[in-house]
Amino acid sequence: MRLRELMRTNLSRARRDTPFADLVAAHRRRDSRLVYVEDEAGRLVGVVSCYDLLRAALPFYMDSGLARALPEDDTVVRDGFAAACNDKTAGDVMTSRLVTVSPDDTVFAAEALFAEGRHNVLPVVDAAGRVVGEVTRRTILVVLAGSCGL
Amino acid sequence: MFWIATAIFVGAYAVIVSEKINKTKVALFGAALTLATKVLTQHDALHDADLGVDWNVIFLLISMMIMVNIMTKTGVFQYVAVRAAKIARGEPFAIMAILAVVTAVASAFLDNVTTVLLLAPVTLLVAKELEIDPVPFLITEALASNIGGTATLIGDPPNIMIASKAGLDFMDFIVHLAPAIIVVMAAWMFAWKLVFGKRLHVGAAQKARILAMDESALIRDPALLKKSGLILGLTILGFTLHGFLGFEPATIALLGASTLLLISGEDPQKVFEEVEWPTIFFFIGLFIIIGGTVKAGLIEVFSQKVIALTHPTKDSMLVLSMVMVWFSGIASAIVDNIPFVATMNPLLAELADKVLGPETGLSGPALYTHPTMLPVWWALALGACLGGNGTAIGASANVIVVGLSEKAGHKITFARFFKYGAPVTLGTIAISMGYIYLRYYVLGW
Repeated sequence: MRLRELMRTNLSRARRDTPFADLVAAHRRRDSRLVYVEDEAGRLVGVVSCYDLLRAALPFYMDSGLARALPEDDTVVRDGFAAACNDKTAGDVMTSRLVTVSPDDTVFAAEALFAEGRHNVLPVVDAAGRVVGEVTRRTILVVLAGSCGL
Repeated sequence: MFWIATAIFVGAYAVIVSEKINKTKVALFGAALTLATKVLTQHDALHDADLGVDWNVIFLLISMMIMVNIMTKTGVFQYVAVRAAKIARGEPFAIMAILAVVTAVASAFLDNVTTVLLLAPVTLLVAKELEIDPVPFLITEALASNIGGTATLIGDPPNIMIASKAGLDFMDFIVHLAPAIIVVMAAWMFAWKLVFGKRLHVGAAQKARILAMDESALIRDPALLKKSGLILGLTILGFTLHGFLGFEPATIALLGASTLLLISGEDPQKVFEEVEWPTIFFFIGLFIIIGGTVKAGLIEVFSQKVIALTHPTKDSMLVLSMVMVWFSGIASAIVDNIPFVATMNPLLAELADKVLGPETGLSGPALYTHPTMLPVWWALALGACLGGNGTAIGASANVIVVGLSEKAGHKITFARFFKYGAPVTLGTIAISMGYIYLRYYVLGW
């Protein structure tokens, strides 16, 4: 089975200058697991995950220990960076080093990529560099389970 | 042979200073050339105590990095920093002064970069809560780490190198350098009070935010903290006794690091991944390049020039000591103090051989630690460590702080760092010069 047969094609798309708030809205709609950032020619240049948004919304120096040390009603750090987030765009927060697959790749190839790396989702990109779908770990697992009669 | 060694040395130094190519790459390539041109044989480079790699320095550095890497996972340093801010009751200058002292004490036993990497995030958070500019706090911590690191044998790499070359032990540094650093810190904090005391003010609401922080949440692994605290404490005790027990410092550190690895349950693969291998290989490369210059006679030429300029005698090296504080201080503000000290060490050893050797009949560590020679080593250590405060690129801790501050949206320009660092460097080196003059040439202690 080829990935084009099982990929999800209803995708959230953005441009580099898409505001932070629109990226959050796209994730809330849950059209796709990632928001795909494209250039003017429609080529994929990056993706924005929930992780990217959470990371951008937190000061880089804040770790889980320091966060626990703050009182629950502390708003100073949060407010400061919420304001900063309003100025950020997809280009600022996206991940641009991407591992992608082709619509003609096999389920086996996607399975191996998921097993090798820590990806949750793989963008499916055509020969022109345009994103045409996405496959998730769950998609592949369900297909494999089905082939084993589970 | 002489000119080949000289060309490799000058070329490597020039490229390292230019920062065009990573310094570890340059040092290793220079070392490879030193061996390939047969200036030094591989046997000399790996096995000769005078010409080759100083394995005492290498294993001391690796072992301390292992212990510190494990200890940082406990969260104890962040705990101390938040506790310090609360002890200061949220008063900005008091926080700055207490964090400076905490940084200096931590840097005396840990490496300076690790200390500022651990304390800077807390500092940024505290400054955010107080709604004040974090830059003076961050620069103060970088300066404090370089000053505190000067106080002990393990505090700063130049001291490790000097101790190993001259045969000085941990207590020598405590007895001779720690008092100088206490005076330097006291004078610096007094001056800082005059500069920042009236300038830093915050309201009661901001202070209350600091007092509301819960530092106990920062201790992530109390069991690991107990184990690593115990081993670090025993290791420091071992350092204080290593001269008496007849062990090299690296043996004590290796004992501590390997014991902690055994009892901590940490995965060695992960612990070793965090050892700063580029720094370790930078040292290895440098030792081989400098070994080549010693064998080829370049260092001997330098030492004859220094003797001609400063006229050291078997009874006094006053001029040399005074010049050494300033020369090493200024040089270290401009170039990395590690290659500088790596060059000065064999030069001073050569000088001791020439000036004191024939008269005293001594050689090796007994010669290098002759009372006439000692102040010169202390002058080198004080100048090389304190000189790093002069500029934003003078020490690794400064570079780290500038980078972290910029990442947090507070750019520290070269000029701004210089405005803080240069007066502190001049003041601390002047105090060091006065200390050496008074202690060794007036009081004769």
